[in-house]
Amino acid sequence: MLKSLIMIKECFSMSLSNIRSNKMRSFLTVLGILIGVTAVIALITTVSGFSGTLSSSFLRMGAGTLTVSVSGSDLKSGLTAEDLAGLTALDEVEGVTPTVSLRSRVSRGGEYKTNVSISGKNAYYFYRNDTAVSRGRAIHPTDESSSTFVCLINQDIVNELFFGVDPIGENMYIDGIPFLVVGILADDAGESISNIMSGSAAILIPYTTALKMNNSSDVTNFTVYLAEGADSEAASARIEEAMDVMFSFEDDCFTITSMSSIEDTMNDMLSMVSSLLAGIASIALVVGGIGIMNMMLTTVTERTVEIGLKKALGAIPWQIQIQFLIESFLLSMIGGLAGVVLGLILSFILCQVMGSAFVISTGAILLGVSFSAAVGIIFGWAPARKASRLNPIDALRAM
Amino acid sequence: MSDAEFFRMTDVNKFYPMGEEQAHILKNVNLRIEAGEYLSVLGPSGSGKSTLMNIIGCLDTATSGKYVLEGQEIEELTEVELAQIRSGKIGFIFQNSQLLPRLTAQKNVEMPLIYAGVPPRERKRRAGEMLERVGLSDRIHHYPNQLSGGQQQRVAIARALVGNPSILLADEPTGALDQKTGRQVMALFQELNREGRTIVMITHDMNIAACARRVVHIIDGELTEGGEAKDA
Repeated sequence: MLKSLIMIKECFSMSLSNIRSNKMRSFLTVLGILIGVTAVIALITTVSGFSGTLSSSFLRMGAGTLTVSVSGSDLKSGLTAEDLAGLTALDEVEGVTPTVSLRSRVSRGGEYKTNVSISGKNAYYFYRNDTAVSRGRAIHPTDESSSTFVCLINQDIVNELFFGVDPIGENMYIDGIPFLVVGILADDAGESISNIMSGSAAILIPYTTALKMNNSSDVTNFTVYLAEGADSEAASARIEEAMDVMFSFEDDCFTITSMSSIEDTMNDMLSMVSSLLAGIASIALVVGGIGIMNMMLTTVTERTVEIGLKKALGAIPWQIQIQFLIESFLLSMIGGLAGVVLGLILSFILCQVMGSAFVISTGAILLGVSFSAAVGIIFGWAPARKASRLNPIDALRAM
Repeated sequence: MSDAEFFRMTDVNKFYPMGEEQAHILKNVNLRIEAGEYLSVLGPSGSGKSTLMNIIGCLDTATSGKYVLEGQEIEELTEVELAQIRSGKIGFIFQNSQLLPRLTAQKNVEMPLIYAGVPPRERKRRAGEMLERVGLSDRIHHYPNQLSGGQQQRVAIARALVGNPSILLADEPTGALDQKTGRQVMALFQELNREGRTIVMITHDMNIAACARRVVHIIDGELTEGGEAKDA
């Protein structure tokens, strides 16, 4: 055992000197492994950085919320204000904000704009999105209860209808009805998930007013804000239960989407894409392995005399085999380690460019290193075996 | 002839496949050597002398016949056991010294000890001693291409001796050397033999063969006793 260790240690230094003495050839040989590992590391690190960034922005947008969209049954097409109040009363629910969408022509004086997206919201929406209003006031609960004709407009509408005028306190027409402008929306007011889903609205009005304009009393889209610490699965189940009652247990009347389920799907897709890409990149590793095998076979032929000599000096076949195996292992590891470093540098640059977080994935590094070690051993096996089986007589005759 | 027998070959035949036919390389060779002998096998190229040396050195086995080395029957051994015999009992010296070019003289000499699993410190000491023995203590860290032909051959001799083998097997040890250096190497051989080392040397050069105490001739695979050579 000790004797083997002594010999193996010596094999490492002999292999290193062999690799060093043929720098150019060794470099070209490890290039395949290097490229393969670089690609695998860069892909995994970049994708995991990207998905980290993605899920943190998901978290920011919609952690602790559920989105419900109602298709309705023949008897009941949506939820009434009382239904919403019933949902709000659930333990798991902190609040509900309906979204009533419509598109309409807006005008002021001689200026007009058609097909403007308008969204009805409640006061609670502004309570939760306190950065939504850049100037003026939000929609109040009284606006909601008495369906007042007030609106908040975004910068586009300000520019088109209120050129040179302070819009707050002014009137404008939505679908021919006069509305009082009470506030200006912040540019990034659309960061909430319901806005992402329905497209950012240019004008916000009380949802009760929007319902009236739609000639309906039913809300078909709303966002549920969960109580702090509430589990989104459990809450989803409770809401489903409550809504089943509202819809008299008819099937397929509504769908509840949680952010985490969307995020899960997204992550599944990302990891699928990344493993697919890594799979493609690992083809480079196999090609690299074949390169190493080819080089090792050449080396064995070149060193026929050396092998014969070593056998004459008392080397046992497995000692010859392990020596060549160590050499191909080292070659492959050199390529692999260089690939890890290069891959990390590359993914660092990529993450900077894409603006996502750069996180060193130990899993990816381990994968790259162990993969290259495996490639070295697997593809070095046949040449090493060939070397160990060389007949010493034939090997010596070559000298 | 009362000394201890070192090895004995009885009716050894060796065939090599040559295309369709079997070439008969060694024909009923009988050879017996005692410990401490200095024998040279003299023969022209193609006479089978290298094959004979390979069989003596346990690099090859006979097709038929019996070869007993220090009481051990060689035919029955596995490849690994043959390697162990080479490692423990036999020191090879080749025509072109056959040093590994990327290793220093010292590392070259250490090589057999590496495969025998000798720890580094002891390896270093023994290699140093052997290089001193062949008069190269000032060339320990030189690489083969920094050494003259004679020096290289002396490194090879040190390498053959470092494992303290029972027999030194030399194949044309002076083949690549000029006359003067060749004579120096021969002088070293005689010295080693006087110290009790068994030596078998293969050569085609009658003058070199004459340095040994006993000469056998090999022609076309047949061995004939050449009688006692002069004790040089």
